[in-house]
Amino acid sequence: MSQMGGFGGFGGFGGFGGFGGFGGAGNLNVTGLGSFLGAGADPAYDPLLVQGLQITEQAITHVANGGAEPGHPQELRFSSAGNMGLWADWVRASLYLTDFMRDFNWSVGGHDKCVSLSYGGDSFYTVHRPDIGVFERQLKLMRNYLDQRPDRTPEILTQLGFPTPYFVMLLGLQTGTNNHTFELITITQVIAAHVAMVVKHHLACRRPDRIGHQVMPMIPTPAHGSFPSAHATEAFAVAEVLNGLVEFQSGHYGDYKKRQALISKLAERIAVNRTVAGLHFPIDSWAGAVLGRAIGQIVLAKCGRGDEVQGYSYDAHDADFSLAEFAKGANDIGVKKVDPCSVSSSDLFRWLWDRVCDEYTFAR
Amino acid sequence: MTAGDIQTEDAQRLDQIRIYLSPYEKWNFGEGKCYSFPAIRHDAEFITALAEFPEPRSKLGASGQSRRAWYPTLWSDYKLSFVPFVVRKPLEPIKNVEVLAKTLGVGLRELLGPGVDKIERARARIAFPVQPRAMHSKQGQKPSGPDWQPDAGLPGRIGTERRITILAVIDDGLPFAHRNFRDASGTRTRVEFCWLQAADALEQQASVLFGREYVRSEIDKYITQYGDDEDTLYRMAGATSDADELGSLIDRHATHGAHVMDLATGYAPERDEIPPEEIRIIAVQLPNTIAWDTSGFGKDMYMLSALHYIFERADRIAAGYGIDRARLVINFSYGFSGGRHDGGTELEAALDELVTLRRKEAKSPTALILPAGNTFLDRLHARVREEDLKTGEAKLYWRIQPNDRTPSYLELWFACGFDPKGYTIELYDPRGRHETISVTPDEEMKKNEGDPRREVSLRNEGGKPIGQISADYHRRDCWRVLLIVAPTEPDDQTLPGIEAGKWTIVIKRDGTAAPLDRPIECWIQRSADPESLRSGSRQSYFDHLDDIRYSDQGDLKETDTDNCAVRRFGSLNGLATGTTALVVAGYRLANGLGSSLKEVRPARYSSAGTESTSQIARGIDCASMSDRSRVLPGTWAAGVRSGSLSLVQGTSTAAPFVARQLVTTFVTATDEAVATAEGHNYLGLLCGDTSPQDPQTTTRLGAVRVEPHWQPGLDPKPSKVSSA
Repeated sequence: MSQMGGFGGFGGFGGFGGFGGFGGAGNLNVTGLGSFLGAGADPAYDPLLVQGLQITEQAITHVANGGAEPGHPQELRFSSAGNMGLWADWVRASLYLTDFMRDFNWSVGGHDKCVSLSYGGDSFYTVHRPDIGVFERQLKLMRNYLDQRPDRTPEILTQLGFPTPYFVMLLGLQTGTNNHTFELITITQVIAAHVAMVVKHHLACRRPDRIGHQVMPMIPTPAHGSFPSAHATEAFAVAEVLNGLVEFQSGHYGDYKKRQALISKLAERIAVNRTVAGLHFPIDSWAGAVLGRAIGQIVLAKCGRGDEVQGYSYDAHDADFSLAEFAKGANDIGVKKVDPCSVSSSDLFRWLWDRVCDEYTFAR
Repeated sequence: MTAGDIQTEDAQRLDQIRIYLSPYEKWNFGEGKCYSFPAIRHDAEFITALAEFPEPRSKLGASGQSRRAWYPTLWSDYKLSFVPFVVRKPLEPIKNVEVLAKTLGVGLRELLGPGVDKIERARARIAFPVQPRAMHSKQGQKPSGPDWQPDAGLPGRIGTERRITILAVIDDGLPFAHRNFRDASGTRTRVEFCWLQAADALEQQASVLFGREYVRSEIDKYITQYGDDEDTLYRMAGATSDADELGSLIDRHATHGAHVMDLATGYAPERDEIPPEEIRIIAVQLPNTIAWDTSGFGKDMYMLSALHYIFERADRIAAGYGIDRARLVINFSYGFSGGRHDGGTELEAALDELVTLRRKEAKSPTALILPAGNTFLDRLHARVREEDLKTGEAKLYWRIQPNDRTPSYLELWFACGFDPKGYTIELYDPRGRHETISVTPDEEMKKNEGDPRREVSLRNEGGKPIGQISADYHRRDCWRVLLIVAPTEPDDQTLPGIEAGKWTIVIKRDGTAAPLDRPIECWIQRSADPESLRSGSRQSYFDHLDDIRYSDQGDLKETDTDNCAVRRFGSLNGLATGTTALVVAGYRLANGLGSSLKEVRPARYSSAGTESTSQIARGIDCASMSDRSRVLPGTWAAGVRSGSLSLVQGTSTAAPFVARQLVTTFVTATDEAVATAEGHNYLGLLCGDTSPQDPQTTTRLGAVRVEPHWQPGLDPKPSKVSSA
C-alpha cells in the first residue's frame, strides 16, 4: 500500500497534523492529510476485486449451509488497553491524543497577556507575551544566523515537517523493528504541536518577516504565531522522551549518556535551524523548548515513567537561545521554576511504552 | 600632553608628521568614498594604518597615556621602517584624503614624541577601522604583557631529544579549542596564545590593543568547563562576538582558518596521529570583514600586527621554556592579485623587514609560508611588451560585470626604474567615451609631499565622479598607473553606476618615449566573494579574443597563447614576491587516487611566476596537494567543531602541508642544517619529490613536491615524513 511506504507508515500518521495545519507525512510533506487518512486503514478495493469476491462468495457459500452448530463467538475484553494492538495506527493516534487532552487545560490572563497551561488541574507552564520591542531587538541575532543558511539549507528543507529521521539517526531505529518507538516519537510530536498551537493562538506574536524587512525567510512562513516555536516544542518534547527511553534501556544503550547529549543537541539544532531559515526568533525557541520539556515529561509520566513534572514560567528577555543555558533549568533571562505538577499514568500510554520496551529487550 | 590642553594640541597639530597616502586612499576617502565599505563611508572612530618611513627608526618616543593614537603589540626594540598604528578620528568628518593624512600625522607625532626630528617622506597605508566594541581605547600607547605562564610539566613530557618549536597561523575563523590542537589526553591545548583581532574587547585585559587574547591556561579552562559543547565554549569565551556585517565565522560548519590550521598542525586520533607536544601554537584570527580584496586596500595593518604579535609571543614562549633562538614557522594562507610583484609592495616589504630582523638580529629561524594564489585561469594578469607597442599603441580589454556592487581596480606597472616619459594611458568605456593620463609627474603636485604623481577624475555625462585614473611613482622607484572604476550597481541606488561591458585601455607613446626594456605588467585586483561573504563583488577580467582558453579536446588550456596579452604565468600572489617567503603552489595526482605521489600535475588554478623575467622577482618554491585528483577537488581537513570535516580547495590548503612538514623538521634539525637552509627560506629542509620536470611544470610547482601527511583515499599512503 503506497501510503505505508518507508516509515511513512507511521510517519504518515504524522500527517495527523494535517488536521491542525502542522506537521507532515514522513518528514517532507507539509500538509500530509492524505497520508494520515490511510495510515493503518485497509485499502480501497478496486471494482474488479469487489466483483471477484462476490462471485467467490456465491460460489462457495453452499458448503457451509446447514449441518452442525457452528459454535459461539467470544467477546473482546471490555475497555482494555490490550486491544490497542487491534486498532489502526490512526485510531491509536486519536486515542492517545484524546487521552492526553482529557487532563489538559489552559487559562488566559488578559491583563498581563499570559497563558497558563495545566495538567490534571495543576499548572505546569506559564508564558508571557513579550513586548514587541523585545522581538525587534532580536532581529540583530536573526541577522547573525542568516549567514548560516548555506551551512544548514539541507537540514532546513528536510525539517519542514517532523524531523524524525534525525532522531532515527541517533538511536539507530529501523522500520518494522521499531514501529512502536516511531509511534511514541510521533504522538509526542503531535501532542506537542497541538499544545503549542493553543499558546501561539492566544499570544498571537508576529513572525520575524513581518517585524524585520531584511529577514526574508528562505522557506514560506507558516500561518501561525511566532512565539513559541512549535518546532522547538516538538523537538524538546521528543528529546525529553527519548532521553528517558535510552536511560531506561541502558542495557541496550550502554552509551546512553552520550546519546542523551546528542539527542539534546539535536533538539537545539532543529530549533535553531528555524531561526537560520528566518521563521523564528531565538526567544521563540526558548518558549518552545521550555514547553516541550514539560510535555515530554508529561508523556513519560503517562507512560508510567515518573509522576511529577517540573513547572516553569517564561518571561522573555532579549537573549540568544542555547542548550547550555537551557540545561540549567531556571536562568536570569526569563525562565523560572514554579511548582511541580503531578501526572498519573494512563493505560493507553503504558501499553505503548511496554511495546516500545519490547523492541529493546535481549530476552527473546 | 594633558587632554584638553588646547594650546599644546594646536602646537602639535602644526608639528604633525606629513604623511603621504596613495591613490587608493585618495579614491576611498575622496570621490569614491560613497562607494566604499560602510565602515569607511561612515567615518569609523578608530582608523588603522601602516606607517612607512624611508629609514628604519626607533618606534618609541612618547610616554604617558595617550588617548589619540596607539601601537598594537610590537615585537622587540629594533628600529623599523614599517609600523602599524591606530588613531582616533577627530570630531570633524574626514572629508578628503588630506584630512585623513593630517589625522594620521597628528597621531603619529603623538606616538613618536616631540623629540623626534622632522620626518621626510613618511607614508601610510590605510586598513579597515577597528570596531569600537573591539578597541581597548583606555589603554596607554602600547599594550602590556599577557598573563601567561609556561606549562611547567611540558619539558618533562617531551624529553630532551625534541626542541620546543612554534607554529603560527594567521587566518580567519580559528577554532582555538578544537581537540586536534590538544595533547593526547585531550585536556591540554598546544595553543599557547590566540589573538582574535575583532572579538569584543575584554575590559580587564590590556595585553592587546584590539580584540581579545587567550592564553593557554584560559583555553584549557574553557575546555574543562565547556568542552562537551563547543558552541557554548566559543560563545562563553566571547569568540562569537565578531559579528558586525556578518555572523561570526566560528559558528559556521567550515572555515578557511579551521581547515588551514588543521592541515598545519592538527593531530586527530581518528587519523592515527599522536600530537607532538613540543610543537606549540600561536594563532591570530584576522577580522572577518567582507572587504578582503574588494576594497582597494586590505588588512595590511592587521597582518603586520599579527606578525609582531607572533614574534613577541614567540619570545615569551622561548623565555618561558628556556629555549634559545626559538624556531618559528608561520603559515599565512592569504594573498592578493595586484601589487608590484618585485617584493616592493608595502606589506611585502614590511613582512620582509620583520622576518629578516628575527632571522639576522635575533638569530631565530623564521619561516613564512605563503600560497601561490588561485588566479592562474582567471584572466587577471596581462603583459604589454616592447613588440606589442611597435605600432605606437597597445590595447587591453577590461570586461566589467553587471551587478557589481564594489569598485574595480586595475594596476599597470612599469618596470622598476623605467622612466615612462612620453607614455599615455587612455581608458574608454563601452560606448567610446574616454579619459587620458600622461605617465609623468604633475608639476602642480610636486609641491605636495609624497611620490611624484598625476591624478585624473573620471566623470559621467552628468559630471558625477565615477572613477579615478592615476599615475604614481610608487615608493619612488616604480611607475604605476591605477585605473579605478565605480560599481556597476552601487549599494546606494541614488549614486551613478558605471556601464558594464568591455572597457578598453590604450597604451600610447610619442617620439620622446624610451622603448620598454622590460614589459608593462598588469594585474586586476581580485574582487570575488569568498565563502559567500556577501560583498556583492563580481570579478572583472581581461577579455581578449586571441586568448585561447580551451584545448583541442575541450579542456581548460593551462598554457599562454603566443603574442596574446593575457597571461596565466605571472598571476602569482602579489604578497608572495618578497625575499623571505617560502611560496607554495598546489598540485593534484596526475592519474587518479591510486597513482603515485611522484606523478603530480599542477592544480589548474594554481598561480605561477614566469620562467624568466626581471619584473616578477620571485616564483614558486615548492608545491603540495590542493586537489586530490582531476575529479576530486580540494583536500579534507577539520571543520570548526571537533570531529567535523571540511573540504576546501585552493593553494591556501597546500601551504599548510609544507608548514607542517617544516615545523616537524625544525623540532629535530641541527642548528647547522637550519642555518644552511635559511638562505633559500628553508626550501632545502623539505622532503619530497625533486625529480626534474619540464620547464613549465617547474615554473608552476617549484623544486620540491611535498607530500600531504594525510588525505583519505590516497593510495599509496603518503610516506611518513622523516626528520632532516
